[in-house]
Amino acid sequence: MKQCEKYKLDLLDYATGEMTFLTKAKQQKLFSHLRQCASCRKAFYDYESIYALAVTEAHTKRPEFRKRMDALIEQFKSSAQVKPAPTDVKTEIDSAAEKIHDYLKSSGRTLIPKLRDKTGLVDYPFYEAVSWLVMNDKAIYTKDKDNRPHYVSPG
Amino acid sequence: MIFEMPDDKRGDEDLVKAYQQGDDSALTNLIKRYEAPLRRYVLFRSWVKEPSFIDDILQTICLIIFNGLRKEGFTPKGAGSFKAWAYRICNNICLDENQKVRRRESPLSQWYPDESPDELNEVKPEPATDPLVFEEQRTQLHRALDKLKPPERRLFELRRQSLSYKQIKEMPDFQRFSLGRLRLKYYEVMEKVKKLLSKE
Repeated sequence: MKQCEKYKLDLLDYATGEMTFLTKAKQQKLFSHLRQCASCRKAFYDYESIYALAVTEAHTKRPEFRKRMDALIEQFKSSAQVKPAPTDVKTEIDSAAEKIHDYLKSSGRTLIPKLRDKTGLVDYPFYEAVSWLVMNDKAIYTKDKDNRPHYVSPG
Repeated sequence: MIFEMPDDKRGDEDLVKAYQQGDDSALTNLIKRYEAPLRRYVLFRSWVKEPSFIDDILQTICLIIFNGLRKEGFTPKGAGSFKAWAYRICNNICLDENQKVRRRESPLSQWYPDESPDELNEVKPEPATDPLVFEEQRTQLHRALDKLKPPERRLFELRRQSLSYKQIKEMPDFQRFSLGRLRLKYYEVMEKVKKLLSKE
């Protein structure tokens, strides 16, 4: 029980997507514990379930989501002239990647925090877009001495 | 309008047929019936809880569903078959996306464990997939939230909008709390909500 007490706040944070206090090392310890402890697993699923139910309404009402869903439904109405292919619909990562690529083309090699500020993007989709650009050779990471990405350059 | 169950009393399979015969309102009503339960399912299954990440997954799921419905000759067979098909798609996409997050060389994926949490996913209880059951659970949650004290309710509502502890701490009501204290308070509120829901 003493062990379980140690993890109660981490459980809730992970179940609700709050990463402020959760280092990677803490997460791995948490998952090790969850594999062994059925009552903590139940608590974890309960928190996830309540959180998912609670945030669904707030998430679905967001204007950016409503705009995407309305546009999608519009495209699939029977009267729509053009039958869309999946690539017609841009994800948030596509738009972010375009923004980052355009900035790098005009400004060259940029520190990651500065790149995020100048493009006005938040963690997600910024990091996902940078990764996509790197994987598709449209950008290059330069790493620091701890092997963490430091600069991004145009590919 | 969200969370107002459409007046359309037709079953899922009838809505599919109607859409395929040119009734656009049938498509709108079908997606509005399932939008929230599907989102909740994805939130529960996904290891990433960020709203825009979930938006992208939902868009992918809806695209597959809509493209499927438009295929000539497609018919969900038997009662409940549209729901089963839609949730199969949802489950598969969630599994794919969890794998991608783990595999990606992305600073974002530093937040996710090296070891696969998928074995935990395998034993997770399924959230309710039926839209009516989902609505009932949502009503129960609202009844539980009504029993919270105003500061507790406020904290719950702020976390519900996916605000982090750091963002909440910047608000006037919460500036006097440390991040650690906020974290503990949120835990206490969640425990209270859990107890209230277990009495429903």
